[in-house]
Amino acid sequence: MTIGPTFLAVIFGIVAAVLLAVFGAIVLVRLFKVIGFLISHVARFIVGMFSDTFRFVGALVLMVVLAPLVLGSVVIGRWSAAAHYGRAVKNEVKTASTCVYRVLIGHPFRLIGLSGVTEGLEHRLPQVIAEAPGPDRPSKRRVGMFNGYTIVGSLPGGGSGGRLYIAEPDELKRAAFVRQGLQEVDQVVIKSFSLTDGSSLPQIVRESRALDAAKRLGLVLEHELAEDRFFYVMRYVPGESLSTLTTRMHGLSGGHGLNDTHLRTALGYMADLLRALDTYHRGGLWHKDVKPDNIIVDGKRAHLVDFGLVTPLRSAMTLTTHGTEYFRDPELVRQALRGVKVHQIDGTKFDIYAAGAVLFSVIENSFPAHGGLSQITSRCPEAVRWIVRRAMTDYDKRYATAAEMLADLEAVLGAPKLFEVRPVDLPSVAQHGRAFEGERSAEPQVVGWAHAGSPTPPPLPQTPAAGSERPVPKRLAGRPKLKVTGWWSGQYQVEGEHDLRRPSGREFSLAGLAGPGLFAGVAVAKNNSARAAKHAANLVPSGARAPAAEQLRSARGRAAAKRRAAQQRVSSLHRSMRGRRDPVAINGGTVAGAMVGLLVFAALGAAAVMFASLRAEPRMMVTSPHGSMESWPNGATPPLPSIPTAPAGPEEFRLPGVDFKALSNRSVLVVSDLTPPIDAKVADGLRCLLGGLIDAGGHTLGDAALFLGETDDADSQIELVAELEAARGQRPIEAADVHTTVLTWLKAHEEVDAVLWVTPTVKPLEGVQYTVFAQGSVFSGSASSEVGSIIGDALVRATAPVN
Amino acid sequence: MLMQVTTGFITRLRANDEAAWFELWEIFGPVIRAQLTKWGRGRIGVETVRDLSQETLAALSTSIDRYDPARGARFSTWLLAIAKHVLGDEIDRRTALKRGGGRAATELDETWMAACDGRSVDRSFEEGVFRSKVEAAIRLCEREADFTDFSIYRMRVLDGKSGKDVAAAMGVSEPTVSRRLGRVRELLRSKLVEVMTVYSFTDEERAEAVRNGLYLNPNASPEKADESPFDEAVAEIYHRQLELRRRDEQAMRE
Repeated sequence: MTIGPTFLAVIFGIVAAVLLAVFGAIVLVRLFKVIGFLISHVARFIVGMFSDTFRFVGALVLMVVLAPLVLGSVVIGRWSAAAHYGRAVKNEVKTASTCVYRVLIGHPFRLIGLSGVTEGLEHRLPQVIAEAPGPDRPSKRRVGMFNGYTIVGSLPGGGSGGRLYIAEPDELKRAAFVRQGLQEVDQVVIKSFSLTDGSSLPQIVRESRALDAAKRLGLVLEHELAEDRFFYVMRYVPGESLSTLTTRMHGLSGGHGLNDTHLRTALGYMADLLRALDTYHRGGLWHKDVKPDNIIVDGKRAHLVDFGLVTPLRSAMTLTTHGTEYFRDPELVRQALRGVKVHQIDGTKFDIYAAGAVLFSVIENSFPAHGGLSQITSRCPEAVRWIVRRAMTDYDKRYATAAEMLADLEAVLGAPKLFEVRPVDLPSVAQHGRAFEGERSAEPQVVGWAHAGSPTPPPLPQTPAAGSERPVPKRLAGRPKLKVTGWWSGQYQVEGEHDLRRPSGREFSLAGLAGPGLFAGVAVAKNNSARAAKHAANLVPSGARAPAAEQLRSARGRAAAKRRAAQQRVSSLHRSMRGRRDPVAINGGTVAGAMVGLLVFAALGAAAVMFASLRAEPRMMVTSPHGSMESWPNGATPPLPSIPTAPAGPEEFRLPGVDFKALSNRSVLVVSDLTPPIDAKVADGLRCLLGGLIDAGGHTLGDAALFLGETDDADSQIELVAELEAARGQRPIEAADVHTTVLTWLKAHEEVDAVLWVTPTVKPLEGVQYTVFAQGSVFSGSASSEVGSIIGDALVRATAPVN
Repeated sequence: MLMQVTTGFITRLRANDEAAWFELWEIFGPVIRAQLTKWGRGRIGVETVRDLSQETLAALSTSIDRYDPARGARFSTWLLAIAKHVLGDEIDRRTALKRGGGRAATELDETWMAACDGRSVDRSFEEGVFRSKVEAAIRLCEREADFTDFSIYRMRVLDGKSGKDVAAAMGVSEPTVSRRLGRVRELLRSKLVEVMTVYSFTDEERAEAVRNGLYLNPNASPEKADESPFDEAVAEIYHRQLELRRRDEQAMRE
């Protein structure tokens, strides 16, 4: 069969028609898409213009409504309400401005395809303006507010509500720093909280509470607490935050994760952070706010700053949820909600979690939004992923110390090729590797109490600067205290040595603080980083104690300065009384302000007196079980007793069926996980039991004070409880490995015969669950009535002599 | 037994157990925020979404005393109804404020409790709630499993590495990897049962796991010897939750 040319032409014609139709369809589809896009683009523009215009009008209307409210509140003296309405007006102004910007610039630019030029400008610009530092110098009335310092600049304030100034110390201050062993303090940061500047009392209290702890590490140079303000001085470290640096490094690396050079640099900064954390923890402190914004890089090294939340690891305060989301372990929030005390948990673990989160954010350039389950998708060595996971895993399983994490990180950094390091090559994995293939040993490892911020931490590593040639003296040790007895005459008196000179088991050597992490919290000038390293090494040189002659000169200098200042004040007062103008004397404006202030004050005072006389405030009277009477103003809530009050006399410590004689000479450590409010039956039962035990000649330790109200040797008691809590971690008390851990602990502490651990029952306020550990045995159960008798019986049985 | 545990959790919520509330917030916070963002698109900002999601749980705390599991409402429906109410209330309040007047809060419409009858209210929201439950189970599993075991599971299943690579990274043999994977899988199944029980009120809701390829009883799986469908389902849900959390976090940063 032959195929004719006509047939071929028809076939070709059909194929061509089909192809043409397909092509046409594709072109048409594309065309429709383009037309659709253009229509939707224009529609979006129109909708955007209209909606922003309407929004602008709405904002204007609201401003008009709110403005009289602001004025009215100011007139009638409702300052809080005025501030509230003022903020609302401010928000509306912001909304209106954004709308104007979008209508005039944003939408038209987007319409002509220039959205890239203006993208996010309305967010970025206000953000930059908001983050700008305040006035470089304090206002005229504040010049000289910090004696001995000249303000030369300011820094943007953080979330703590304080104001940050950069200042230069004068010669006297510098000499004082030298005497403290702090060389070449050129510039400092002064963090100031003042009630007149808008800081609140809780902010001041919180910051000042952390101060003592920070001072022990040499992070704070000086501080002052007055009635209306509080400030402290620390070294200044110019540089940029790790978060800014991370963004830049990712940009330079091409946006798919850090390249090898930047990765190594970033891991180096992480190592600096971990050294700093190790220093904090060994000094018994918990930083509590580790995040990229609190890590300043001065070009070579990373420094951990901001110790507004620094807390002693053995603090008896109740745990709070302060911290920063994504860098704060959710477990901390859970524990805080349970109302636990700081010493009942191991704060170092939460700093380690935050360090893991920082490492994650450096590698991923985003926050670990999924907590411990967050996934690293950027380019990253498997060993580093492992480190992040280990740091951010469950409380009981993460690194026990920052040093352990640092060792793993240094193993990665020490390798010539980062990506060739496997998790199994890390020291922490290799250490546990022996038990890895086989089953774990039956006896659980006792964790944490040897270190974990104990007040008597293990010996710190000696730095080369601290030197082996000469012993490093304790800071302030051996320094005689000079008391100036007459500022006018310059007389002084030498008192006994400083208390710290007395050797104590609780002292911690500052030698280790001279390590590279010490200045993490404070500042070193960018171009002075090498010098800073030298400072760190020489923080406490053996010659820290200044010669007596120098101290004398310094004391006389201080006295002379005070004398001069006093004379100046007197002569200035004389001049002003004679009508001579002086640059620092009181001027007319001040006098007028003072007069107005006095008038307002007098008017307010008169109003207050009238108000008080009209309204005789009834008071609420409450009679306590002891017969005493207390009263609270009406409207105020009387404080609720967290634990029911104690019975009056020792005769109340009677528990039928408990053989207290068997408990004579026994010392029982009580660990309580109960949180207020505590069931009255439980509290009474435990009080009777522990009171009876003491009457019988026994001893109670730890949380027994919660029920008996005794606080003898509170520190050591907290220490014992903290050791056990750290050893237990977050595991349930009924877990077999917890039993083994506590019994092992008990063997190591001969001064304790038994441990009584009380925990809440599933249903709150319905009895108590108890576990008694003694002589290798464990008795546990729960009691909702006759609590004292039941637990007492368990104690007697557990501590009975074994034949 | 199952209902007993469920009602136990509600009892904790009713008793204002803060840990229970935090648990609820942590697990379902992102999915509520995503839903509120979806509904309030263009009308409410990120901060308002955060506030409203907290208000949703606060409203939950006040309405929880009136909740009756016996009437057959799904947990997701419960949350959704409250979130919708809170958002509607906020929009009404804003509208009233712009008019310059006040407005009393509306009553929570509780007709959904019986009217819903287990039918889907918002499919994507319900899927989100289900994924949140699976995520909670994975988190519980991580908490209880041996760290090395879970890391192996994570590398193999969640990160999608081959068994050979995992074995090389951990310096163990492939059979060891399989054995450890099996342990975690078993624990994860038990945690899934636990979580599904606590946060599911209806039989239909409890059957959701199987519908999504998560056979909580391995013998009930059509491919009894093959665990890969289970692993794949877990990995898929995990990654979708990651994406949800990532978007949530990104919204906060913007």
